[in-house]
Amino acid sequence: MSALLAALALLGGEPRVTAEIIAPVKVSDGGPIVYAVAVTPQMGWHVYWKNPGDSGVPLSIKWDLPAGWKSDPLQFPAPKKFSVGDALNYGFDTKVELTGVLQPPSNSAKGAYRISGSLSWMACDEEACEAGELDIELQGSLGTSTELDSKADEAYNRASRAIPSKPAKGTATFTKDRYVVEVEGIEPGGAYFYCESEGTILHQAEQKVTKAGERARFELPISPFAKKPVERLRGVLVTGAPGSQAALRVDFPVHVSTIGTR
Amino acid sequence: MKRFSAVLSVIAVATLAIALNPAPEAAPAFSLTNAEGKTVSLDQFKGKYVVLEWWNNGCPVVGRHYRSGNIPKLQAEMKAKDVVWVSIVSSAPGKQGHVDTTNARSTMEKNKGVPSEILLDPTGAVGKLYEAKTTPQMVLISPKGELLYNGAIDSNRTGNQAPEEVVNYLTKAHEEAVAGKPISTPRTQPYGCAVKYGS
Repeated sequence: MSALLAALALLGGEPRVTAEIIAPVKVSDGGPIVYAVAVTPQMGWHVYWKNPGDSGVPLSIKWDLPAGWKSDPLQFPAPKKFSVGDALNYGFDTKVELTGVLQPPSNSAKGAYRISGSLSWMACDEEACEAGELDIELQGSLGTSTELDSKADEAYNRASRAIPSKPAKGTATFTKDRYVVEVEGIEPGGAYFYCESEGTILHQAEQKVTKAGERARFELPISPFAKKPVERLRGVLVTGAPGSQAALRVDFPVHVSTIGTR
Repeated sequence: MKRFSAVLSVIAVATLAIALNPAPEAAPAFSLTNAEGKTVSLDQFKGKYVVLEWWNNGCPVVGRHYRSGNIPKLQAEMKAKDVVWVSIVSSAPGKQGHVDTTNARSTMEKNKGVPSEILLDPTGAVGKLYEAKTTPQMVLISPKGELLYNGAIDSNRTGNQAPEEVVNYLTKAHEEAVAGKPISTPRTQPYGCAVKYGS
């Protein structure tokens, strides 16, 4: 029965993922254009974080920008873990909202703008993967405050509150074959570090988290694909029990220790 | 003292580099049934470079590399350099990308692929032997049977890289090996769809 439903879906039934753009939220005089995108995978399917883990492709957006314009990287909320066999993936299996910013050049002339782009994703379940994309067009007028769409503004504010912004305080050391990360003021129970770059830590390794005085101490084995330790360890630290989780931003310089582990 | 600690840290860095980039190991032996129903073993290609490509025709990332002509072009170019190109299907029966002797070659032809061999690995044993995590994933084996490269096809993980920025790790490893140089990047994290192994 489920195979039949899956087959029907493949024959042009329900899409695996629906996506929408929430924009423009606000445009101040010549200032940046902020937007959000909402991506909702069908039950049983997931899309991927900026580091998708052992397989997968991150959600990404590509803008066709006029000369001088810049696009800041998409901002993601904290992901979840998905185990597929002995591999581990990072992503989202329910609606996820991401935020982004387009920066016009500082000397840009006032007037209308119209910018097109496309949001693309790969969604997978246990059996298969499918790709999809959403064509996006943003238009408005620079130099005049755009009237706020209250629904878009609300959605953007909700999305932006979910992006981890509070910085974690602590240190990162690389010793022999692992990163040792110590973070102040958090409890080890339920804590997990999502590294944002691929090929940095071994995703599948269980993260050993212990109490070290007032700090939580993480041991993160280096990825077998790493040529050398990274200079900065970046990512998101999720703490607390499910339902009452908090997420901190991690961006620590890595001190490479030449002394073996103990 | 300063010089002493500098020497120590050089030793430590060198040890680290060796630990993370070991000398090439032997490519594990295997034999599988090909698309034409014949048994093919790795050792019959001794004396030639061999590329192993993990293939799932339904995977969007694989599709991107075939539709753009990237993989078919690489297959033709490598074969012209006397490299044996082996596409391996480790999708379990019923899972995405699974093919058998009745449709493996025709499916590859529809995708305009021209590998030397298509090998069927429905149990996933050979995929697991080579730690194949994704499709595509590429392995390069030397004429002596050493594992020279295992990982991503290239650096273009999202497909958004400008063509001139893309580094193809497979051809880079092959060029270095042919020139007698050490392989600068013997492993990378592969990207694409998880290999659809049976449970």
